[in-house]
Amino acid sequence: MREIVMASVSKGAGKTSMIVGIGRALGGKVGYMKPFGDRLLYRKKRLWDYDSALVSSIFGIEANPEDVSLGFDHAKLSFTADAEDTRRRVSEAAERVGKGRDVVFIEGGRDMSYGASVHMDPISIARATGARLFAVVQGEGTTVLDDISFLKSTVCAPDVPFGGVIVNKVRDLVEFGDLTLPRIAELGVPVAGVVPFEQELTYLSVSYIAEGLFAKVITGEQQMNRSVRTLMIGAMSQNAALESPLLKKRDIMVITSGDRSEIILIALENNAACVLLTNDILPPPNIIALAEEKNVPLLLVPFDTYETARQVDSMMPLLGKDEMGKIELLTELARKHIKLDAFSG
Amino acid sequence: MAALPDIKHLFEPRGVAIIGASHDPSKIGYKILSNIVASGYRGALHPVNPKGGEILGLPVSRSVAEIPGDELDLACVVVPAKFVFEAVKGCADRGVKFCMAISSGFSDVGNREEERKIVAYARERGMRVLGPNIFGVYSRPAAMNATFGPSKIAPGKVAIVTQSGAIGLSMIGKTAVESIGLSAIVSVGNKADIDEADLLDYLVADEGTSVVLMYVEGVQKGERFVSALRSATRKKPVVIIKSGRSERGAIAAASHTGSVAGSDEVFDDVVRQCGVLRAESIGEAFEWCKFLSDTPMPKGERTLIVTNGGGIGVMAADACEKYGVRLFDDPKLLKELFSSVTPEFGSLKNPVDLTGQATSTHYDKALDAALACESVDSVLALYCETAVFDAENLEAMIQENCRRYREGGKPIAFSIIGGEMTEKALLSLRGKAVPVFADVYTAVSCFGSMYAYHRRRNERPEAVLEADIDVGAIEELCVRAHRERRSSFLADEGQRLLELMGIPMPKTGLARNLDEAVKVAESIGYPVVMKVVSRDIIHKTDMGGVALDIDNRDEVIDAYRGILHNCRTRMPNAVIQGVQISEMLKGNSEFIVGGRRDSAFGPVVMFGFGGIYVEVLKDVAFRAFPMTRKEVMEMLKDVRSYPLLLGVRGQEKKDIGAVVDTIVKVGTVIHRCPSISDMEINPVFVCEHGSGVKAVDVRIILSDVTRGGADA
Repeated sequence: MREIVMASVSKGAGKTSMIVGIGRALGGKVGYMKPFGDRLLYRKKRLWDYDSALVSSIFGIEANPEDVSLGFDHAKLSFTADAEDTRRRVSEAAERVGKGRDVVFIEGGRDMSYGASVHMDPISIARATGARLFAVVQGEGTTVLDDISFLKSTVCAPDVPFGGVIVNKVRDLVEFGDLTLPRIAELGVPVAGVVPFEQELTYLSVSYIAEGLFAKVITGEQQMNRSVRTLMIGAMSQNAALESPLLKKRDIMVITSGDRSEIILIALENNAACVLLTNDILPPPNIIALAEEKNVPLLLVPFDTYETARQVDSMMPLLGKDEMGKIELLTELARKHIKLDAFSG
Repeated sequence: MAALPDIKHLFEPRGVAIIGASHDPSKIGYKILSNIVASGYRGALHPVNPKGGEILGLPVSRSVAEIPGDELDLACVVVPAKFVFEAVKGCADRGVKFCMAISSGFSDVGNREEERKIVAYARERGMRVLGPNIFGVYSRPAAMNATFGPSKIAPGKVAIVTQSGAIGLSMIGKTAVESIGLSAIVSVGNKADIDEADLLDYLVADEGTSVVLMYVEGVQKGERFVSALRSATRKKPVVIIKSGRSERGAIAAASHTGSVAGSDEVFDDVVRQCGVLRAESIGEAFEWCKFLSDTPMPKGERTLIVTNGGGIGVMAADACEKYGVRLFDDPKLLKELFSSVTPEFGSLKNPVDLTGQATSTHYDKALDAALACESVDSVLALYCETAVFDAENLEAMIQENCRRYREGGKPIAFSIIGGEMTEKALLSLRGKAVPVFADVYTAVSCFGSMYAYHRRRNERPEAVLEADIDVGAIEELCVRAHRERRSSFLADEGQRLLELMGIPMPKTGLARNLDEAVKVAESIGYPVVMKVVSRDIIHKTDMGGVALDIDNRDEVIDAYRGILHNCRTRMPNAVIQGVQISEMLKGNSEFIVGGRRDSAFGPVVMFGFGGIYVEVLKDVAFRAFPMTRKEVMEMLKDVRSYPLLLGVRGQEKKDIGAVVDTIVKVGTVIHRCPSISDMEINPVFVCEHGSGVKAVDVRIILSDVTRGGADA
């Protein structure tokens, strides 16, 4: 059984996405844990880490939440365990989740230092489990070089088995290969993969947005998996809305108050992915009936339009368990751009 | 302030002045004067115009002050808006009792200030103002047509009060065509002072009025209106047409007379509570008024249908179900009464089918039998034109039967369908105010209105209910919230309010940290419900601030942290006091009880099927408060989910008495605590009979903080 710690230098680099892609590309039985949870999700009366819940769902892992994530609170963890206890708990939990598995991915927190005060940073976890540490970095050119240089000076220690870096979200693979890759090689840091940026992975799904806002689903339950590529705030007049270039784009989500019937109608007639109704105002029954007929999701929230748009705009495009398109894309990216034998050998 | 005059002097003035009387026949100032003269008004009539002279043979005073004599009860002001105040001032100083301000250009165009000034001056001197923006008053007792509408108004028994000038004027013409006579018609316009409530007392007391018809667009001073309606509908039928049902209609109504139509659902529920007959259209209203003004009231609700066609009989039976008309149902008596006039293949059920062979003689015999039978309270006779019927006798047969029924004090109506001869008879009979209709549904709807009024009239008046509540203690809670510039109560204040109202809540406690959360949950006992407590978070479920069915310690810990995480993520600026933990109640009997100060009607209560989907399902009913026990029960039955309270699928009956008490308590708080504008208990968990109710969550909205207290 192979244990891999997946860490990142900065938040949102794509650790979880890489775990999903690599895990599926490898095939076999995949185990997973994220010792120090940082994306708290309350579901089915228990606290989960969002990433833990996602990966467990994708790989059909039925582990106890307490084994997958040992804690969320610095304060609680520092009171309940010292360094030795923490090492032991992490190691034992890794053994339990790894039973019968071909590979176990252990995901670190948002960056290299997160959890260090309670011995739950990625390096401490790698030491405790003996797992091979990989780091995901993102960005272009000099940012990547800075991150990798930093990693070399802190992570590359004899007692930390360092597997290498995965460079994620690279916009220009050719330029990267020509200019940056040679300099990484000069640093002597192994590169386990260079993965290109994919716009599709940045889109939110309707169901993700609905869950994030605790929105009520009025119609279109079957279309909740649709991607949202563009947001359009329906605050203009009917004529202006009809002439808006946003309306011509694919997969738009129109955010408007529930009493703006004319805007809602325009959205429905232009095949919007979803209409997000604000101010807790339901549109008239004929509009709801039309949305039902066209199978367009109508979501209802109590916030005003500005607050709703602000919340949607600030949502991180995390992977959803029902987003099979994205999951397949990540798998394909791992197959094409990751040295899979670095994870299986 | 001087004492206000008796409204009688508006309808029976001893002297009338027309301020702005005109020599020009095309002007309103001339038209009104000429109508008063033509209608045969017997009191003193004084045209006023600075030019003086003579109009229609009457000497013209140059000002109100110049008018001779003492008895000047009514002044009609027909001058441009900018001169109205001076005219009103003159009238008030002269001691005129009522002033009709015909002129428009006040709150109808947004000029409320001038209107207020006029009314304030008038009332200070003991004068009442009708209007502005009206067409005038017609009064049969005074033989006075002080309107600028049609000159000829047929006298009769229907009184009309209208908020729309155009509709009112056209109603005058229409009543003449429909052979409906009027006892009065009053245009209230902007209702700056006198409104419908003021007029109702006089009209229902007037012996010459049998029915009152009101056209309403918006309601102000709703509590007075409700009180006046409740009293009026026990004495005479009151029919209301209200526009502004739709959103568009409401907007149009708002711009028409400066009044804003309240929610139509509230209006509908409240006026039905008051015993009003609400018509869907002017046509329907006129049919009802005509029928009610000339038809004797039934002694009971046993209606017999006599027909010569099976199909039309079935339609009539369907219509009776729709309009709440109960059918006479004694097969033995039916056989006894009608077997001699019905062929063997006819029907002796109700409807009684005389068959297509029937002639006028058969109808006469059948209707004679029904008239003589004390067990039959009213009769609906249907006629389909056949080749066998002696059509030349149709009109006479109907007219004679209607006459005998009227003399016998039993209601009857005919519905006839056919070709040329039938239509001719229909037209002729309707011109003579005989109760005959082309459409059976129209006929039955008239019966429906008659029976609705009959039930109202025969209702035993009950005392209104009010709960015994410590209003002072409740107001103290409000003072604290106002001091902190809050517009709603916190969770603990809501609980305290419920304690003061005597409405139990599930066992509950507030946790300010994780340890307290566990302690409270374990002291209450599982399962529990956990909810965030924050003045800034009103819709807790929408924020992820609620966790249900928490069964053990671990779940308490996770729920506590999950709730705080969700709320802080969604509303980072919200101040969170903690998490409330309560016993979890299970079952399907969750209802909503609410109350609010409606902008139109004042204190209004709401009851319905509750929970988080109440705003989607909208299975609710409204009533004005205070109310009687009977009205509370009717309100419960209006809700489609009412059978859940009776117990379904083997479940026990619920404590309906406790539900009634809860509604009365909420109504009392809204009625007597002006600092509270809205109160909603949702859900109210209704336990089994004898076990009361529990208020699971309560939301209190306070009256406008900036005004420092109650709404005006």
